[in-house]
Amino acid sequence: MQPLLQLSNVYVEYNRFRALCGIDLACGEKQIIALLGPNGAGKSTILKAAFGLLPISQGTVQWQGETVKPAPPDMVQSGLSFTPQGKSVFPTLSVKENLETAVHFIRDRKDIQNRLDEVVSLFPALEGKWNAEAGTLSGGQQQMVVLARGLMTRPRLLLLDEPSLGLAPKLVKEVFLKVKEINQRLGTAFVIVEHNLKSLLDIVDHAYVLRQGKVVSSGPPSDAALRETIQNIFKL
Amino acid sequence: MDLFFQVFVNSLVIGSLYGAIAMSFALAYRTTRFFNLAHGSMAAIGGYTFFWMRDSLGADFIISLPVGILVAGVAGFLIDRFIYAPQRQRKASSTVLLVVSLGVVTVIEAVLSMVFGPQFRPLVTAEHISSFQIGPVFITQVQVWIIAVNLLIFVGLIALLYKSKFGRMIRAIADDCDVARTLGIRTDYYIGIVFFIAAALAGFVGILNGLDTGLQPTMGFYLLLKGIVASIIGGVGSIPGALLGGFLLAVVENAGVFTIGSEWRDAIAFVLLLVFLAFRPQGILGKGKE
Repeated sequence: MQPLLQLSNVYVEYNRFRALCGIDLACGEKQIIALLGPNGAGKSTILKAAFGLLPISQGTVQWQGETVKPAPPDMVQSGLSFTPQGKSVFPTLSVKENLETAVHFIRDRKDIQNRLDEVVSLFPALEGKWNAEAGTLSGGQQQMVVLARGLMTRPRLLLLDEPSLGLAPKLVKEVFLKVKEINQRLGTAFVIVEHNLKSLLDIVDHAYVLRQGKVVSSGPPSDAALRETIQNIFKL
Repeated sequence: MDLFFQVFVNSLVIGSLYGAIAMSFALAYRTTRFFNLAHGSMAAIGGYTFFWMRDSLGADFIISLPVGILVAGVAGFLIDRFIYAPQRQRKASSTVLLVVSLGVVTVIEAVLSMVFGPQFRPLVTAEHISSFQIGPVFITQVQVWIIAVNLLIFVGLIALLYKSKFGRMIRAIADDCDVARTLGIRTDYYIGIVFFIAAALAGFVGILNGLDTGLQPTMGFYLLLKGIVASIIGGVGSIPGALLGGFLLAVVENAGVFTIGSEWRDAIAFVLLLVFLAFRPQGILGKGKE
């Protein structure tokens, strides 16, 4: 079956520094993929390159079977969403405004309201905070707003860059359980960049381990070779 | 007591000019986070376009006014599109953009001096200096407009920012431009429109200022300096803060002028700025991080 997102032999360079060296990666329909690796391995660069925030110097990015020269405005409307690192809410906008901002290209108020209702059913805790400034919420709640905002466009694939950054371990687990719930209820696929391995490996279908811009191992989380590589890199 | 009322009304007029330029400056500042020193030059462009329409083409006031505003707006939009936007794409720092904007001011002032001459030009016509007397206080027709336009700008900007989808977009861009881009928001398009609106408002202020006191190629920079002081003491980036800051600055300036002399006007303004920077750097309505 044709993967939703496929990177083939992708190279990215920042001012002569080679951040990605020949990355091959695929994410299928309804899959949850993890990108693991030490700092500077190129995990976030993969997400940015796939989403069109960074130019690639070699290779191809295919989205839904078509080679694309990605540009964020087009990618969002074609079903790919990206949430950058950390608590990336708009702090002075209310929770509702944060969510509405994601569907800026939709004019139909009824459609927007349906999407808001859908998202509230996934994140009931947000309903009481509708008019609160997002910056005043707790770290965990802000991360929920970011996830909810990513879902407003009903993406087929959501790219998540370190959703656990700055969160307490209990909240990290909550975020990942929510990701799994969304995946099962809506069929949304995820590519997640993470440091926090323990909780993440419980929910993913496939993981890639990166080092110095290259994939050094990949496979399902139960794969013995993958686990060994993870143990060697993270000294678990 | 009569003098007190006259000082109060004069402060209201000058405070409206400061507030209006400060609010339009704050609109662009809160969205892009850089001190656009060329913002005042948009006031000069508006004023001189109005002057040229009236003087050279003999156009009616009702035509010259919107054309002056429009030309200033388009100038602001084009400067952003061709000068600031490429710098933003290169991730230039706010300091680099500030220096670039200083270059833009220099060029605009030079061009205005070459075309219209460096000398002071009155823009006043008999129809605009007709004045009213309300009790002990004298106020001209133009000064009434200045106060009214200032309030209109305030109400209009608040409605735009907080009651429209466009406002929500530019507040999102102001909060985090990179995140806004990841949502597919065409940030440069919105920032371009913000520059158009801010410059058009500055153009309007320039015309009113020209009708009140006259035109000079350097008028914009002087007006902007006062606008920036008003903006900082009100809370930089805040629209209500800019309005309040404009009035406070004008009241303190005028009170100083009547007690110690008009030659101290600018010194008083900057002492007020220093007092705020020392004791309340976030300004009257600022939240600290702004």
